[in-house]
Amino acid sequence: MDEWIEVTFPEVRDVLVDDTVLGTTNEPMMLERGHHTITLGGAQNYTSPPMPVAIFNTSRNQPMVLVFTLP
Amino acid sequence: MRNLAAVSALALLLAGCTYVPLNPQLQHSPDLKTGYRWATTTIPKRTSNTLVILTFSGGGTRAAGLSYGVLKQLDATAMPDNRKLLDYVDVISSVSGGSFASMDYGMRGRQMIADFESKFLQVPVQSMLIKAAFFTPKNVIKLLFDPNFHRIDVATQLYQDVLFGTATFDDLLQQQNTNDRPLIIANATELEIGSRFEWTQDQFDVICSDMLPITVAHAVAASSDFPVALPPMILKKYDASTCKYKAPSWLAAARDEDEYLYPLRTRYATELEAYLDPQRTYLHTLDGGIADNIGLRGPLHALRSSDTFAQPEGKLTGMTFLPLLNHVRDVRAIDRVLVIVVNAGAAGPVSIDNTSREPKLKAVLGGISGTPMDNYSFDSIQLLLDTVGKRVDSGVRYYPVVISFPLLRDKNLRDLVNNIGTSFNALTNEQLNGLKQAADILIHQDPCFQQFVRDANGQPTPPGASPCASAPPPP
Repeated sequence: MDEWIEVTFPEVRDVLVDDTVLGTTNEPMMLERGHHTITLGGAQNYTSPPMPVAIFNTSRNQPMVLVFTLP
Repeated sequence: MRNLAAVSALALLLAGCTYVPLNPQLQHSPDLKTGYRWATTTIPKRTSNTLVILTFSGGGTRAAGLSYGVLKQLDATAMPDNRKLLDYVDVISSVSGGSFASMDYGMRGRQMIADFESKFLQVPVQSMLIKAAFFTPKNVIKLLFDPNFHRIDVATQLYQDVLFGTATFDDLLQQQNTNDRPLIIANATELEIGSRFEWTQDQFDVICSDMLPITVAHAVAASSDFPVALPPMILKKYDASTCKYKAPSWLAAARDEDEYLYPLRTRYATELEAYLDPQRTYLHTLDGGIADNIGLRGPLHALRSSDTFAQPEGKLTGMTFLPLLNHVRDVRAIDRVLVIVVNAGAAGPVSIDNTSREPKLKAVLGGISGTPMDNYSFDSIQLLLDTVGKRVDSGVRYYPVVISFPLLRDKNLRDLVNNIGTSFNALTNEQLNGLKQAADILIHQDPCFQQFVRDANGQPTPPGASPCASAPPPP
């Protein structure tokens, strides 16, 4: 079942879902419903640790927004 | 007397044979840069923004013939860059009879289109198999006395003789890389787990086995290993620790946390765990039709999920299309997806319900085995349509095309192809021409195929054209 998330971050980075690069920061991306761990690619200079989330009941227009920030 | 002594000596010799697995152990850790798999093909590196997936069902030579007919139609469909639609095919996922067509195309490309009829479809493979298994002394003796030689091995040898020679998956990978051919996924069923078993290295990594030296005929034999008539093909399952197989990180969450949120994901996780179970030291594989008779489940999973059996290495992954659909940076970006499901499932004439007599055992067994398969196939197609139907605002356009005999409007043609039995008997000229005609009609009458061809060639949709239900409305 399709779900949507958008990872916000000040820089353009790859977004990894369970270690698979599935999208890019600041753009909505499609993934499968369920529990996932979200991380960013590139330099690990962000404050947010790997983010485990349960993703359900989202849509492209109303994605789950996950906020990663620089230190 | 001398012959009897020779036979006895041979029997004693064979009885002392030790078991030699057909699948060798993997001599290194799983590596997404090696082996026959999605990541080592040219497919993820192609520049085309159109993803083309074919699935070929089971159904003996009827399925092989219909699949071949569809390949011919794709070879006759022009694309704007002067290539044919056949050149755009990325993945062919196949089952049983359909695997003869897919694998032969993977090995020989357009040469297969030229001579598949004479090399396979009009060859009496089934009677040759019976002769080889029961009336060829060399095989009869081996079958009697060699515990490592089974009727499925006779079938494999026959398929090598008829079509595939001794070509291995290493050869198939070279053909793919050299000629930019599709990834061919031959699907079998693991008997005890009850799951799809696909002949790719992503699957073989889990059992720490190297599939490159194995002949493609083995994969086709496993994919078409008709239960009871033929015994399961047995593969050695090496323990995951022997090649340091690392379970992908999605497994734990999918297994332990998603059972109420999304059971489909948990089921996939439990299948992977079943393959990893250290008590399981062999796999017994049978016809892929038992788990999925239209070969759609693998590509459908790749369209919906990023969970694969492979641990990602950078942007190398197992077969998932989500990175392509999400337009991940430095990854092939997909804007159009054409999925053609070739389903040769047949509804024969009324043979039980025209009498009050107790049906014969064969008819009962046919109904018991065939009904769940047909219902599951229908659900798989509906799941595909539901999936892409909900993606009208995803930015990617989908074209699901279903090739299926009930969609034939010409009753005579429908009856002709429906009445081709599920066997590997040679097709008559009438049957062969009927299947080719059915492929031609079914693909061209499909609204989504028509829409795809128009969109690919930049042609406007004419007024009154049947809508492709999953495509977004015209702007």
